[in-house]
Amino acid sequence: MITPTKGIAPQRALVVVGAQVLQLLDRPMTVSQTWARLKEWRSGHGHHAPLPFWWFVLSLDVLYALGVLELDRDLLRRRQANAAPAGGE
Amino acid sequence: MLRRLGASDHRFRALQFRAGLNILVADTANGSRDTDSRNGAGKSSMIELIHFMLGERSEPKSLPRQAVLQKVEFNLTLDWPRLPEPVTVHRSGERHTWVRLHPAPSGVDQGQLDLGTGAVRNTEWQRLIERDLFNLPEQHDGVSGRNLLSFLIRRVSSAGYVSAVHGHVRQADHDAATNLAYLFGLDHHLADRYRALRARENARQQMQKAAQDPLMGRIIGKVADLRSEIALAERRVAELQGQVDNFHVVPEYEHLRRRADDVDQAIRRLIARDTADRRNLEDVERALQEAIEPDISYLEPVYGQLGVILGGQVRRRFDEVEAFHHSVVRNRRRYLEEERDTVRQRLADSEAERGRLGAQLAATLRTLEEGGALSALTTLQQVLGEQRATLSALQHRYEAAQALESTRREITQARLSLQDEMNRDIEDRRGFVDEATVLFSDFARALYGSDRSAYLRFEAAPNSLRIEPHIQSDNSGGIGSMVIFCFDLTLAVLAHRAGRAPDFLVHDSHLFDGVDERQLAAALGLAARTAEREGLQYIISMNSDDLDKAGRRGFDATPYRLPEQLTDRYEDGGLFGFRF
Repeated sequence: MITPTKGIAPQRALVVVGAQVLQLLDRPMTVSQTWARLKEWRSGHGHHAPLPFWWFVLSLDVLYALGVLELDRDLLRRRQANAAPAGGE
Repeated sequence: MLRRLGASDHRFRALQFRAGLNILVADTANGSRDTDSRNGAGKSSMIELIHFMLGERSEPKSLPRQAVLQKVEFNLTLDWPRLPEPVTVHRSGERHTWVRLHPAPSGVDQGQLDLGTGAVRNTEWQRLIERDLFNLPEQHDGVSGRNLLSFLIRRVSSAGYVSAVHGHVRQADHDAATNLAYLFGLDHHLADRYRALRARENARQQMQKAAQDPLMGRIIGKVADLRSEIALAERRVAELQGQVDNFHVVPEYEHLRRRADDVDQAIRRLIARDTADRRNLEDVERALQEAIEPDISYLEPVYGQLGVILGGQVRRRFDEVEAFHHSVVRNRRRYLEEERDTVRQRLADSEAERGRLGAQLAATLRTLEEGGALSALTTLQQVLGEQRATLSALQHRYEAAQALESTRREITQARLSLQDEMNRDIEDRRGFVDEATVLFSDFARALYGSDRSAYLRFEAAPNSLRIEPHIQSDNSGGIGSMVIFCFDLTLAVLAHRAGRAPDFLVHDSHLFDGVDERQLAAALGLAARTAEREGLQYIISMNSDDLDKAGRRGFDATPYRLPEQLTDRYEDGGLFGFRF
């Protein structure tokens, strides 16, 4: 699921989708804005594999778990992985 | 009656005329050389001067305007109808457009007076002559005093002795005939219609020539072509007229049209935006449905796999990730719902706005449809005016072309009917005509005896009234001159009897050139008798040897000779008293 497998095409693998999200996230954006831009980018770059919203949210979860994404007042923003995690740890 | 011909120059031999026959004699002076001739003694000059004094339009080459004479003021004294004393007229070559009259006849047009000198324009003098000497009415087309005088005072210089029925050589047939008709008491109006017809005929021929010219022909055109052009032009005019009549002016038309354009643009922009919004709305709604997905059981295996794959890389604990996930999904739903509501609201607003704008556009367009701008009406009217002008020009050309095509026939018909009318008129005036014929034939018999047939014939010819004097000829010389003599005498007698001409008749000595001495003596005798009987004045210039010939045939000239006698004596024998 996270990496491509026999049943998961490389363009649907969560790391790949997450990379695409990070790449688009050049400034803080709302979730829907990010979602819209991702769909736009994917259709513009020949990624025609269906991508439901929940799969997109799952890729966000991965990024969050990796500590490279955080949700700050309803805005998604990138953060450096080696920086101190927001809240918790 | 002419009484005296004089001049301001004292050398001029003033001529005193009397009633009846007057003979101005040109003599061969004793001691004159054979090479001297009496030509230039002044016999013809007398006639030139009488014409000059009686209002002739003076040509630059005429006698009184010669350099040596133009300062001389000539004068002629003559009896004037309805005036107790004779009128004296003064005129000089230098100021030939004016005459001085003393006393002035009544009814001189004050506007024609030169107030400085009391002089009268020559044209006014001509009018007075026509009115008083010839009794011409105000309207007398075709008859003029000058033309009438050319019969009573024939001139050698304008070939007056060539034809009896022409006063001078340049006189056209119909012109001469009209003036003669007046003197003979025929209907000169009828005779003048020949002139009018002649003028029409000339104009028609000119036009026809012009119409045959390829370029000029286009100006006139053909009746058939013009008729169809007129029909087309009339239809165009009617159409335009209808448009103008039904035209409804919309105030501020241009402004309204711009507004309609703006509204249209606004509606288009709204529609474009709506399309985008609807697509968005669909997306949002689909996204909402997807976002409702409640099952989050997959999170755990994903997280597990994450830990397997990335190992120490995973920074967050599972419950943190789960909280993040819920937060994203919850917010996401709110966002989507907000967005959906916004878009729905915008679509609803847009629809209302479009409805409003649509109604406004429809109203504006209806107004625009109903009428046009004032400027459009003005243009329409201008075009209508142009079309009307074209139509009227075409109609004029049509009339001209039609007239041209029909005048030939009309003129021929008019000529025939005129000829008929003229012949009837001559028939109706049999009395006058017979009187003239009888008188002429009496005069001819007095000259040639009763064995010669002589007649005067009046006949309506196709182109003019023809007056034909005839004396049977045996080729004896000078018979043409005697025809003129008898003709003029007849004319003078009849016209004077009827008050249509003054009482004088003047002939030049050339009339008797080549005339047999028997006829010469008879003619002078006849002239003297007729003048006395009719109260006429007959003035003739004559060479002394011709007079001698007449004397030998029993004509005693003594009582008729003018006291002044011209000679060919070189220096001072002539009429002017000096040679030039």
